[in-house]
Amino acid sequence: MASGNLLPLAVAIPLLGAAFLAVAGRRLPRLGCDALATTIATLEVVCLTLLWTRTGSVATARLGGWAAQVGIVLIADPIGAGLALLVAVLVLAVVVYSWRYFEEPAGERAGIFPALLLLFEAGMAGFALTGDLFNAFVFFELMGAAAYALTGYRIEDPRPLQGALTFGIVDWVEAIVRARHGPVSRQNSSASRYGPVTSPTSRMRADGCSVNCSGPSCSSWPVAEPRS
Amino acid sequence: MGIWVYLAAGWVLLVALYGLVTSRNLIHAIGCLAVAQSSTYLLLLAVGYRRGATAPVYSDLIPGTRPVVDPVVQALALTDVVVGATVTALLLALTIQLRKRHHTVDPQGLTGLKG
Repeated sequence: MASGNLLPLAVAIPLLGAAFLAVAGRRLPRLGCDALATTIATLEVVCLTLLWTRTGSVATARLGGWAAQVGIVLIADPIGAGLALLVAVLVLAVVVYSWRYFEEPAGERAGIFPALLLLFEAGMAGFALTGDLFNAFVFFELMGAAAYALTGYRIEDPRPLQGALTFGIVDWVEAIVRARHGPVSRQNSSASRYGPVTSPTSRMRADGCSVNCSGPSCSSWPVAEPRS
Repeated sequence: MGIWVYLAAGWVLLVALYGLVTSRNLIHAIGCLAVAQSSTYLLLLAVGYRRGATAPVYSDLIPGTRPVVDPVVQALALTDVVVGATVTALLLALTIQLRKRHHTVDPQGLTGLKG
């Protein structure tokens, strides 16, 4: 499979897996939930390993065949794909660890923990592989919401509950200040250099190199316009 | 518009942060977070603003005849609204749980994590 086809799969596998686990987890026994979550996490590791080994320089995927100015673009360079692979390996380790050392409630909420974990993975993988500012925001926010919910997962205990509230408030303030005010104001201050704007997205991409401090796929920003 | 919108966005953010650090009630603190979030809407819309431009809707507009404002930042602001609502709902749910368990909504009452 070409690396261009693997790129959307790297985000789609954990997202679809999370949705499936959230629905099917209520009916499955604990063992089935664990097996399903491990299978999906392993699949993601395999997909990203293939992507990482096949990404010689830069792989791009334009979802739905839309042009880069209006569509969603995913880009994998060795650093971005490598970071996504690191995330996938860590998530697989967490899933395996939670087999035995994490008690999950049965019934209505069964399967929610691995589903949240996979949602978190999808956010992180997407953030490492995104090719434009807009989707960096979307994946960042997906990642944040899943992280708050995971922190407060043991809502009956006082410490995780208070930790989740503190983490949620502090991290959300940090996200507002850093991820929005930071790059956007820098983007605007240098936008005048680019003269009349024909395509707003290309302007944001053209200045993407000033955004890279808030994104892990640093080296993919300057080449955000797909070459292939 | 000029620089005033950016100053206003910064002022709204500072007011929200002041409210957040002096807050004695978690519901009030989450309200302050929503105010801080709204400063980003101001900032995003100001970044995309162009003088004399119209809305970027091409159903009744021939492309190229008029300048339009930046649609990307408007989409970003819309995404911000949605995600802000999600996070607010999540934090309010945690606050309700805290009130049920510990009968307090004072941030100073979060003593479970003190060493």
